[in-house]
Amino acid sequence: MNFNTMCKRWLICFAMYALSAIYWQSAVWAADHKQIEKGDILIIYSDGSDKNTGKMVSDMVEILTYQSFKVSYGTAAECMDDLNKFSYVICYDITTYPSEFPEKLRVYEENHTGETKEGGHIFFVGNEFLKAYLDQTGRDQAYEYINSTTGKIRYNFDDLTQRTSMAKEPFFLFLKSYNYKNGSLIVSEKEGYACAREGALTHLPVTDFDDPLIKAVFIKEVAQWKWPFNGSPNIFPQYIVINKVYPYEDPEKLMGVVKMLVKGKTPFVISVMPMYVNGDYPAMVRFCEILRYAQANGGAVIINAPINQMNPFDKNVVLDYLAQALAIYNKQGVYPLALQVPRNWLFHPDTIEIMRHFKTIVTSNEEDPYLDPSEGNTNEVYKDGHQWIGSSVALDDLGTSYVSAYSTAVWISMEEDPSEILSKINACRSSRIPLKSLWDMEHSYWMEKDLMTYGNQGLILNQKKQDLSFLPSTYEKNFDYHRNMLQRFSKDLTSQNRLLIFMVGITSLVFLLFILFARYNNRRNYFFGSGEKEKDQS
Amino acid sequence: MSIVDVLALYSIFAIWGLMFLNIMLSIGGFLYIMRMYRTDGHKAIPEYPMVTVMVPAHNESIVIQKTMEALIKLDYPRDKYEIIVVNDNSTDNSSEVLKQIQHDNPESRIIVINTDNIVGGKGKSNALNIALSVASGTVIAIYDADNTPERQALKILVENLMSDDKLGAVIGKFRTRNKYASLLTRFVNIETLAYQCMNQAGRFFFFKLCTIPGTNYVIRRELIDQMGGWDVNALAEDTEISFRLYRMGYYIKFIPHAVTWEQEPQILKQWFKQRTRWVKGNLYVLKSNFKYAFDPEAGRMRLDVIYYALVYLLMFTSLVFSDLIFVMGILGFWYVTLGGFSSLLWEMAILLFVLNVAITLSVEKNEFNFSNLLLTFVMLFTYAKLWVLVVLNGMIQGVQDRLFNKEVIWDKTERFEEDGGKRKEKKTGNTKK
Repeated sequence: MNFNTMCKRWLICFAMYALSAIYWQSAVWAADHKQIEKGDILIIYSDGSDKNTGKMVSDMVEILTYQSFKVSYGTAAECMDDLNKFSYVICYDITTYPSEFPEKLRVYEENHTGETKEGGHIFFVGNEFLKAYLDQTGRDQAYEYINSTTGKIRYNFDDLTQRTSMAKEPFFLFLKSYNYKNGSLIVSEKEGYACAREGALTHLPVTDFDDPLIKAVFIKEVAQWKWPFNGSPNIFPQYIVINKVYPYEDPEKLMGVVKMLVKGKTPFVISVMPMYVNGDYPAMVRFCEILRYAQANGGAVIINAPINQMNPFDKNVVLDYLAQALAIYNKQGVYPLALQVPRNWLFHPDTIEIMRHFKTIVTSNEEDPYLDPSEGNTNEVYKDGHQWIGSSVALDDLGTSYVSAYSTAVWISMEEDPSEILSKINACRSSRIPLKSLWDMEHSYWMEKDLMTYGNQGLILNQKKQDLSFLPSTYEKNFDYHRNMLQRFSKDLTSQNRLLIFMVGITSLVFLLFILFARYNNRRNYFFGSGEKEKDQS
Repeated sequence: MSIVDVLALYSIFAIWGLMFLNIMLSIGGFLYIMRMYRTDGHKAIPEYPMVTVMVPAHNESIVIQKTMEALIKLDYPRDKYEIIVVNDNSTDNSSEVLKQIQHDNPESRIIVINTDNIVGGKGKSNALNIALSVASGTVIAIYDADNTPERQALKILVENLMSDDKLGAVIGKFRTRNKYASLLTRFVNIETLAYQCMNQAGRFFFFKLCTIPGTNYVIRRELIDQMGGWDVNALAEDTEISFRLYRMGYYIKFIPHAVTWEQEPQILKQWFKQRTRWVKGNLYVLKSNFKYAFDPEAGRMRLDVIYYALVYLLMFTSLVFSDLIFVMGILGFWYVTLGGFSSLLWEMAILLFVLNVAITLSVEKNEFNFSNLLLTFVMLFTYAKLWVLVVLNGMIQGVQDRLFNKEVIWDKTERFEEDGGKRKEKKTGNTKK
């Protein structure tokens, strides 16, 4: 090999090394830099924000998902180059951001004047970034700054319903001019707005969505803000849901509540807990008899997702359990129409896949503690086009819904007193938000071996139309539980509990009498006894 | 039904079964003590026998002075009792202290036997056997070197022993002298009172069974001689000798009027050592005597063997399982799916436990108070849990001793000076047994 050839080979090697280095660098950069997917709404929050901000953003994403919006979210640094992919941008309580972000937002604002509802809009939640943004864009006279940390927010949900709450922020800021405003926020005796819009900018000065009123204001305002037409957005109904009913609960109490609802011709939903075994036990037969009665009289049944106790989560196991539970209920003539899930199931790929089996999803206020937090930056679940029923935002003890931006569930617990349950039912009946029956919508689900569809008043399970009329159950006189010795012990333990309490009560009473007698004796001996006894030498 | 369910069910039945047993014993104990307290404990006898009070002492110079003072002051005919102190291979100044006591009390018959590491230093049983070889009494009384018996104690014990030929031994009550020294001694105080009311008085009331507690008891000399003295291989020589008395057809009586005050361990490490020794000793006795549980000729002793087996095996395992289920449940690893397995069961068990102990406190003066009731509740979650560790440790050590053929060591309990609340610790070496 001459020198020339050797040099050429070295050059080729070096070039290949340099190319591969560039390739790997770009691959690493791409992995670090999250891609912001195009959608309807972009939510931007602070760089390096804390867990609480993450929770507030999740709340917003959840609310917007129920309203059927495709939402992306990320920090200011992650999102600032992708603003133009969205017609709506929400800046949530931004305090830390790249220096060029306000300028990029200004360009976005210029391109979207906000003159038409279809145009782009920026929704500022909080005050700090709006102040910085207005200052930086030469509008420092456009707002009024109030150096106070607390305010009183007042909001009208209809002509009759006004709610107030305290709000706490580092400081408050109000736009001086606006072409729309709603509600009021009183800070240091100065009355500002709860929400206002000026051109492409909309401002909500309060950020804490843990406060139900602030959350409700956001839901209402964001629905208004996003509504592309004149007038108010569509009104979505509310559903009365008897939540988390177990077969071993008092059947007569459940029957009482069902009859109360049936009598008032009030549509309702019973959310049952999944059962995996012993579907033929008399208690289960009785429970399902009540459910069938409810089904035939305006009540619908939905099923709770199995309680997750797995870490890591195994979707196949959960689906198997769900299929078993559905089969047990179906065998008893009970047909759950929808799946109820904890709210954080909306953000996990595995749970999203489970929900994909159901058309209608009801989300509860609970969170699945075993589920890892989401690392995504978009509401993936939006693509599945579910019919959503979210939790109502309870602004009073009755838990009735005051917002109609999406379908909501008003929860009734079987642990509540009948009088409390009746109050809630009456509150729902008199609410301006209509009550609706799940039977008025189409539903479906599919499991490995089962397919259920409901529409046009007909429920088809595995290609067979099911009879939804009520037929009473027949009970075996001497049901054989097939219990082994240990199960019999366990059963005895259950049935002996009362006896045990009684025995413990009697024993405790005897012991107390003994103690009293001994004390009396000791005192008598002390005062009237003779001779030396013991001396406490310690 | 999972394995956790089975363990939970086992624990429930075992704990409630033992609870029931203890409730019955407490009721019996309460009735017996209340009946006894109607008298002053004395019994008229025609003649007081010669008694040898034996005190085994190994490095006890801190406490022996007080003990001897109490023994010398005993209300018993002066010419009818002698005190034999076996100063067993002590390395402290016990011999000087004892010599001085002898010198100061010429009217009392005090015999001091100083042993070296060839003859002595082999534990309590060996020291008692040495004392027995020179004893002249027809009745033997045993007191530990940290005991201060009340003046009437010996007289009451002897009078009761001599009034019934079927009695092999009579035991008195021991109380905690240093109960205010630490939280541990407060727990021990409650434990000893509860133990004596439930286990001693209760068992005597129902079955005429008692276990010799190692101190503050009298026994017929002839029976000891027939037995060939104390078993030098037994760490719990008291339990061992009780079983032998049962087999000989005698019974043991508990007299709550005969009280001695003793010093209990003030620090956890010492308590742990002492209780481990007891466990090992009792397990040895249980192992040696378990065959009698199925021997109809063993009489009422069978009940005691079964009782010990229940306490050590059933209670220990059920506590371990229930604690395991509780801890693993909190950590999220184990779940009990049994119907009726509610926290109410545990709450009722706790209530009964506290009331059960409260009964035993109520029969004592100055012991039934809020502080002790609170301590009873607390000790269920602290002191009682330590017992599980003690039993576990005792079992492991027992197995190790057996596997490796280890020489049995008498881990002597350290003594503390009790002057004005200050504590002086006396370190002593181990003696081989």
